[in-house]
Amino acid sequence: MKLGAITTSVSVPSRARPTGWRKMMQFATTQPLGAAGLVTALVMAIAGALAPLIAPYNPVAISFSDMLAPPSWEHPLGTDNFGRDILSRILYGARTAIVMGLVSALIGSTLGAIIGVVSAYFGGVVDLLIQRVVDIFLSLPIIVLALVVVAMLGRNLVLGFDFNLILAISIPIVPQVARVVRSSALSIREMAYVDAARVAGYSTRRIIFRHMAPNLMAPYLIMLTAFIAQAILLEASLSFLGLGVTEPSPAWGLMLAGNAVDFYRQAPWMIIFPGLAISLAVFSFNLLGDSLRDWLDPKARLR
Amino acid sequence: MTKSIWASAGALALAFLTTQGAMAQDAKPVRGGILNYGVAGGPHTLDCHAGNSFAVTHHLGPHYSTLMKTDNRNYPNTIGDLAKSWTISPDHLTYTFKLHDNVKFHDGTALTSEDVRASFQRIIDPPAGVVSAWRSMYADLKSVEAPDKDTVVFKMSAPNSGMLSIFGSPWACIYSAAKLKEDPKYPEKTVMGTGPFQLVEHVSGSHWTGKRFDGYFRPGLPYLDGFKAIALSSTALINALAGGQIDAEFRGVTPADQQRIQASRGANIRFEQAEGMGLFMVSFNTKVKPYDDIRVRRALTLAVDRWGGIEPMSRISTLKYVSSFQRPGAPDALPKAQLEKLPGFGRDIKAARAEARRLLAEAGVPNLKFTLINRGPDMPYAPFALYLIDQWRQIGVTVDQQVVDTANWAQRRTSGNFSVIVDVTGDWGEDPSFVMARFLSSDTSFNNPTGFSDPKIEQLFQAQKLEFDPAKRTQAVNVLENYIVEQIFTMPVFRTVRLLPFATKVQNYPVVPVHNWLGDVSEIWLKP
Amino acid sequence: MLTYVAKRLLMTIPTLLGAAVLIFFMLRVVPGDVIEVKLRGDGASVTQDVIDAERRRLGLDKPLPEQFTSWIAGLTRLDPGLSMWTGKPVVDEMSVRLPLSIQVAVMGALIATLIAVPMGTLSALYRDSPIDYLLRIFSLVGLAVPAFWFGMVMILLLLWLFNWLPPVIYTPFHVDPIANLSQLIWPALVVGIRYAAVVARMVRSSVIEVMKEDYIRTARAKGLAEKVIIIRHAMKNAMLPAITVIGLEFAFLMGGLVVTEQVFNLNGIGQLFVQAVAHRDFVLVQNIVMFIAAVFVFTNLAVDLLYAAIDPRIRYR
Repeated sequence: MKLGAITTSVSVPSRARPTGWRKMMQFATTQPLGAAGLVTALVMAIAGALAPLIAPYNPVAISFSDMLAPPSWEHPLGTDNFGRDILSRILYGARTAIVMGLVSALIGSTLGAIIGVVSAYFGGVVDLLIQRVVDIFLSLPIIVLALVVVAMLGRNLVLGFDFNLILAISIPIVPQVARVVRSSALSIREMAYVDAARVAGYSTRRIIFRHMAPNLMAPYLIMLTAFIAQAILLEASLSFLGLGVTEPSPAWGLMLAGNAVDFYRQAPWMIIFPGLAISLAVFSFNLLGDSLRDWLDPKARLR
Repeated sequence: MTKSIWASAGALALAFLTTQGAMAQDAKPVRGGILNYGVAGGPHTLDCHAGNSFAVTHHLGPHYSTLMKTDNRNYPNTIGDLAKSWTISPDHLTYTFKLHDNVKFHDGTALTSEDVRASFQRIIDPPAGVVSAWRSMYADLKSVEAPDKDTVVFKMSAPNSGMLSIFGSPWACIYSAAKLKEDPKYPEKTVMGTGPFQLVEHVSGSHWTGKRFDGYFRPGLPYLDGFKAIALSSTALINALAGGQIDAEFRGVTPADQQRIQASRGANIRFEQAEGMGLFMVSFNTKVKPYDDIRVRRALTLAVDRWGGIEPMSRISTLKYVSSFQRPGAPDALPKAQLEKLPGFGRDIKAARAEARRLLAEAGVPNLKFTLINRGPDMPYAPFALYLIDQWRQIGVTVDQQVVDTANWAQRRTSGNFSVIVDVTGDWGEDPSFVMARFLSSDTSFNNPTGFSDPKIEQLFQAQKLEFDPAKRTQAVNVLENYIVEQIFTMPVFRTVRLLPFATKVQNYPVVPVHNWLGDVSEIWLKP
Repeated sequence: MLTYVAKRLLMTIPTLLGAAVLIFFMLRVVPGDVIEVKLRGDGASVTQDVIDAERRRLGLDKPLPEQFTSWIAGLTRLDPGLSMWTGKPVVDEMSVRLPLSIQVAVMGALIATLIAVPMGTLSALYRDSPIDYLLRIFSLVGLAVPAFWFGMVMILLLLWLFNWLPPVIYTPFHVDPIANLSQLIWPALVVGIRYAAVVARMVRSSVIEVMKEDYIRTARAKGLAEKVIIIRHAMKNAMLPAITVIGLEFAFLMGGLVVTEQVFNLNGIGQLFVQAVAHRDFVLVQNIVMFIAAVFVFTNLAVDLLYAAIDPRIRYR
């Protein structure tokens, strides 16, 4: 048994599962916490997507006459030191957080999964080489790696989002997913039907995509959800350190950066709400991921 | 309402300076005590000659003397530090200084004119491996001689009306000639000068402590037994002031910080302020289209409502004054009436915006879009840029901000890798020859990043530099400043306030605009 | 066993060397350099020749492979070089800050263990009961709250409620334990609570795993009291994976200190790292990264070896 950095090993689901709507219902009833997480995450994503329609104010327009206003009917969450509406900034911030989190986690997990499968399937020298590289990346702490990558890449706006920041967040995810997917893939490779497929002379691509990939969906989904949460947190931390999203783009971590803290007595709402938003988003994805694991992982389900 | 800001600011600063002076005479100083102050950053060098940031002077200042220094009671005059008296030849080409005769180094040896000579020699002609950050400032200096034990003679290759104040540079620390002879790099490793305090301990990233030097040449000084300079991030610094863990900070805090600290400390803290030296500007790369077109630059400066924005900005940032290159309260500053005629400094913002739109349309870029490079994340860069972006939005210009760290900013600025960049000066002195030098044409001034060159600037600069009659010099400086503002390669916008917090017990520290100089710590005393 | 240890030790070399190559060359692509920050960051009137001379002095003009090999050669002699920012030996800069970071990490780990072990066990024993849900939610909240926000709110609450703040200067524990703890307990709490969330999840699942092992069934069949079963058998065996997580997360923690130290203004390795990146002090950055990587690799190794030594089911490869 080899112990990697990630000890959450995920085994392969072996039972047939119900499909579609019934599957969702089953998830909701057996995993009420997970369902709650899913609903919260969806609400946040929808709020972010519809921000231009539902946000009461322009999130970047400065209005000095409304500076540091406490929560009221006009500004439900108050305003900041530039008189910008905090609710509107949080709604637009949800957009930044979810897009950044989702895209980084998708890129990181998918790339990681591909590398993991390739490594497991080919084994031998390929596996050895890939695993050494994975080891190297794993030995560097996530934030350290992200910080250097951010400094290295600079900024590259795609559709209003900093793609290089997304890369910086996804790079540290790759080796972690690769490690876990590899170990799951290894156990599948040993299974009889993969051997049978190989004996039957199926192509490598067919074996990987037709036979191995579907069975890796469970660990992949679990890791993806978990890493969305991590990516949102990492984006917030980087923005807080002044290395992530930049003003005037609304982003939750950014709302707490710089001298926002100076206004904690005059305007505590400037500190409280963005922090709550980050926590809630990360929490709901974690809840979802956690329950997904419980649900999809039969080993953990046994009593 | 905004009209009065300018006048009241100057009056305030003046009033403040005089009350400080009065206070010092009234109360009798008490010896003893340790002053704890915060510094937002550690020194990157222990060698004054290589230093250029407040983090260096705020640590090294108490340990060294300079030949001359700025008079903090009669700012911005220059007075002697090690120099007891001086004469300037009628042709302004020879400066002769007589030194105090009782000056001792911390190692007990006596200071002689040779030490002053060797130190200045090190600045103007550094030996291999020694960094002299301010060398170009002394370009007119031809030679330094030490004809006898207490006389130093400087010969100039050209007259320079700002030379005396340049001799007061806080970076021109006087080192021991004997030790320099052994190792020209000793100041990088050991802190050994003639200042009022001796270094006790330096824990990298944490704190720096000094104790009274009993052999200090000014009788009865310093009052303090010692000091402790504590390294704090800028947020932690405000927390530490609010928690009463430090007694002072010498760079300056924001009005919001002031409120916050005051709320925690009540009567145990007081604040004093002066106009600051931090000038926030925008520089255009005039080699890049469409910023090579003065109409575009003019539109962009016209669009920024300086007078309307300064009051709210002053509540959330350290920016407090509308200012061009010279500090509004400086002796050679542009008269207000003259300033308000310059582009961007007018009172009628509606007309200015209309004019700006017209100019942009005329230049063929009615819907201009650009990326503003800003330096982050320190105060007041972020609010400054946000204000600019919002102002430009109002004439139909879309601006996207890219915040980069100091290293990246400095590199982009010097290499011209920008179209529009937030620019800043934070000079250590007031003399126009010094303040205006960085706005010389790009082909003469390596510190002008805009690529703009115009020989007329050099002519006007030389004219004021060679003018020794104060009134005529002010006039010449005004002409120069007026001309540079009109070229709009760098547009000045707002100036900072230097708002200093002091625990009530801290006495006798006159606040002057310059934050890059620590001031005279030897005269600070603590009320028991 | 010995050959296994030797083999594992040898295997750390390519990993660490790879990390060195990676960080070294990644850093050289970062725009901006230390000399410009030093001499031009605050707008001094420094001419290009001064900059060039400094660049030569720091060896930045040499080809990259040469710079790299001389760094690695230095590392093998345990001489990582001089900080480009202060000119002091890297060893000095780091050794001033290490005790603080290690103490916060160790205290964080302790706090985490104290919270996580009972929490995880309870959660496992009362699986899918309200207690389990409550504890799981608690641990997920611990994971979700950003460290920087938690720390910030903690400082502000201390200031607001007690008009008091932790000391700003580090005092070693043996000099003045009270001063030491009153400064470091807060960041340790922030770190520890977060870390407890991770460990509790691991403890929970390993206790669940163990409870269905044969020997537990045997013990039950023998009629042993449930308490005895849990403490003697289940806990004992479930601790192994828990220790693993604590060990592995400890290494991660060193990296996690970056944000916490920033918020609490602690003069530790994490803050030094952030400053060094801002200053473009490449020599310092690459050495800090290598240090953290080495801590990670060797903790990993230690955990694996421990595992191998304790659990006879693991065969040496």
